[in-house]
Amino acid sequence: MIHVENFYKSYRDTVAVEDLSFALAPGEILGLAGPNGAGKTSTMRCIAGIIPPTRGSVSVAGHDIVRDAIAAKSRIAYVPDDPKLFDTLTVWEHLEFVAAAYRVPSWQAKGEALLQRFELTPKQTVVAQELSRGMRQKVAICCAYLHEPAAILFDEPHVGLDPRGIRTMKDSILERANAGACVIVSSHLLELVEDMCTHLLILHKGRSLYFGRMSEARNAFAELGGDASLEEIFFHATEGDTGQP
Amino acid sequence: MIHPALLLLVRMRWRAMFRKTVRGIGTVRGALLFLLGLSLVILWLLPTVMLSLRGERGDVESFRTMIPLGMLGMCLLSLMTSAGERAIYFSPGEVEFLFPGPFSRREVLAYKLLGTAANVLIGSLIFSVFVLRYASSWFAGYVGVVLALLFVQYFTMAAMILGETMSQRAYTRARKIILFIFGALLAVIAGQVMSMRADARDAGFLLLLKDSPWVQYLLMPLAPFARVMTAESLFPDLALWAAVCVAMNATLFFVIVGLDAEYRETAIRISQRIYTRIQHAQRSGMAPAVVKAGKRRMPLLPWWGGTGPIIWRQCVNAIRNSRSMLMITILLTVAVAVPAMRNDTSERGIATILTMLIWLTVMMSMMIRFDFRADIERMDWLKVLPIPPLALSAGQLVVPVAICTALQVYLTAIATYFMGRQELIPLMLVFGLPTNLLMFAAENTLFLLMPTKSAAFSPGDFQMFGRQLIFLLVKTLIVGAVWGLSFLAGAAVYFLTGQNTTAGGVAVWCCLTVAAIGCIAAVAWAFGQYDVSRDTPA
Repeated sequence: MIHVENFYKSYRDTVAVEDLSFALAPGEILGLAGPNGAGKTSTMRCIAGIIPPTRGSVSVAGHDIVRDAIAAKSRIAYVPDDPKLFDTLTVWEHLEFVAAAYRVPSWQAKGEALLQRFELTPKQTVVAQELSRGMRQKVAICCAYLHEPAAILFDEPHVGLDPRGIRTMKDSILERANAGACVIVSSHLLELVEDMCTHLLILHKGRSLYFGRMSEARNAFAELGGDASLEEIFFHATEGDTGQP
Repeated sequence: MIHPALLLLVRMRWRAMFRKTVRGIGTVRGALLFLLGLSLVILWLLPTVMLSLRGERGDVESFRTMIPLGMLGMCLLSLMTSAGERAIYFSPGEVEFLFPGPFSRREVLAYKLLGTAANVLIGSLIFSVFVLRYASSWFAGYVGVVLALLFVQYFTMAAMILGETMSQRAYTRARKIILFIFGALLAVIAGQVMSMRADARDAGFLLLLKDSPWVQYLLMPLAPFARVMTAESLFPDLALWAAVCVAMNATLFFVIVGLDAEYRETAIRISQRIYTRIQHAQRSGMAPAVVKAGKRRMPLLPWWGGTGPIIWRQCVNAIRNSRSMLMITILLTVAVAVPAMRNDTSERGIATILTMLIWLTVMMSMMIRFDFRADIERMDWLKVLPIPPLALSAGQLVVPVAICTALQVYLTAIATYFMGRQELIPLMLVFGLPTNLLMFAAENTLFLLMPTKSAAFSPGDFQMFGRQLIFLLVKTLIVGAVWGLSFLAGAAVYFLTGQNTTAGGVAVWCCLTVAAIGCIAAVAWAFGQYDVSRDTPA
């Protein structure tokens, strides 16, 4: 579903991501972990088609994100870490716009169900600038789900959400994956990644330190022992230790 | 050319702006502010409308010379101010919904151009009033203004997109070359005008410009816009010239869309920077220059009953914004120096300068915001500090009052350098200090009682305009009343002490100072009234 091959991203003289390759099949959930500045957001933005890759290829559902951008983007949804909505539009108008953009037929019932699930029904007519950060996050998630994307990218999806919101978000991600969507979740919450994801990608200074099944990560870092937590694996991979003080 | 969803978005955003205005006037306060703002705009435009209704038509020939010149200036200014920012601004919402959305780059650009055109159509309604005196009909003036403003906007966008297609180095070099050519042309023109001036001392500047062939070459492509505004008949005058202008704008439109430049990466970076600036400007009242911590550190001040740390924080804030302050200082210097250079030492000349200083002081109190106004998003943090509200309020006011007073003294020194009357400098220091304290205290009290984050004025936002006007009126009333009472007290002392000017002056100063210090208590009270959960706007 998502194919990233020899992907490079640089900003003038700064290399953000270097020679990254991975592939995800439908139903798989990739946890993208890495310290700040590792290149996670750049990778997500390139896969979402927001910025072009410097080199390499990125394709979604068989469509190249550069050459066949519209077709690829029609199959993707991206939820940024701090969603900025259209300040003056209401929650419902955001869904209306997304439905028009992705040409979703009879979207109203689906939209109402999403708002209800994310406890946004009372906020339907509220303008975005009056919403809290958590509410904005929920609106962005509803917008992402409305067009039933084949690939969904979440950048720090839990930030700003209340415990119920986190639970709903986690459940919805698992449901989408079970329904055949391919999901990438970038998060610093390693427990969340370990709990939800089928695959793991550890990025550090723009390079991939590990990509593979979550269950095989312990084998890859066998020196830590068979019962090492993801947190121990992460610190070992990125700092060469177990992160213990 | 454009995705239907993007057209829907344009419609929804306009509907949202209308809804915002209607919702705002749903309350008594909102309705009053709206009416006040609207009345002010009408009063502002009324004299021009009345003049044109009386059939007094302005000098059309001069107008036709000035419009292209003004347009050229606007284009150059846009190019120069966009130096290093080679991108079209997209709001964060646009970046996050349109860039990953199923739209091509061209469609997103076309949406942006359409949005610009819609804004120009509305904005031109006001600008068209100012060309009424020179236009044969309002319609011709309006069409001309719309086309001219669109040209300026599209020209800037085309330049940015062109720049984007080149590498940064090449663009910077190209921009330098373009600016050099323009500079050289302007120098040639200036030289020509100066030499002509020797021959025609009494001729006006406009006539000199008009006679310069260099000016004519440079402004030739912009002349049709003035022709549209001043068209005598619908056909062939207006139709013909408007067609020429539409063709020019359409060419720019297709250059922008046709280049299909990869603008998104730069747009994200620059838009984020501009958005941060807008946010900063809404908080502090001034756009930040590049704020850097710098090497030199400001030493911590003593406790001083709790005011020390607060003053220190605002000092650091002011120092880090020193580039913006420098810009304000330069602008104020020009504003005072130009009339002062006339060297008019008559009572009228002095009164003009003093009025200007008072007006600039009022402006400064709105621009220098190193106080509660910049802290609206940190009010909860200020509330939990173990500092008494009175000390905290005093600490918040020290820095803006000190800066304002220093600027006043500096501006007075500039004025008196040209005009004499150096005795005004110490007077400005002595009386300016309590007056400024009074003014900033009034400004902060009003702000804490009627807080708002947004200071931006968007089209149709008459409520914000009305709010600013009310602030200005109340502030003027407070300062005026305190000055009036102080003056009365001073006059009484003057007569009681056998017409002793010094005693009268000291009495005025004492009254002013007592009232100003008393106003700090008002700020502290308003700070106590401020409810973070209710008053901090989302």
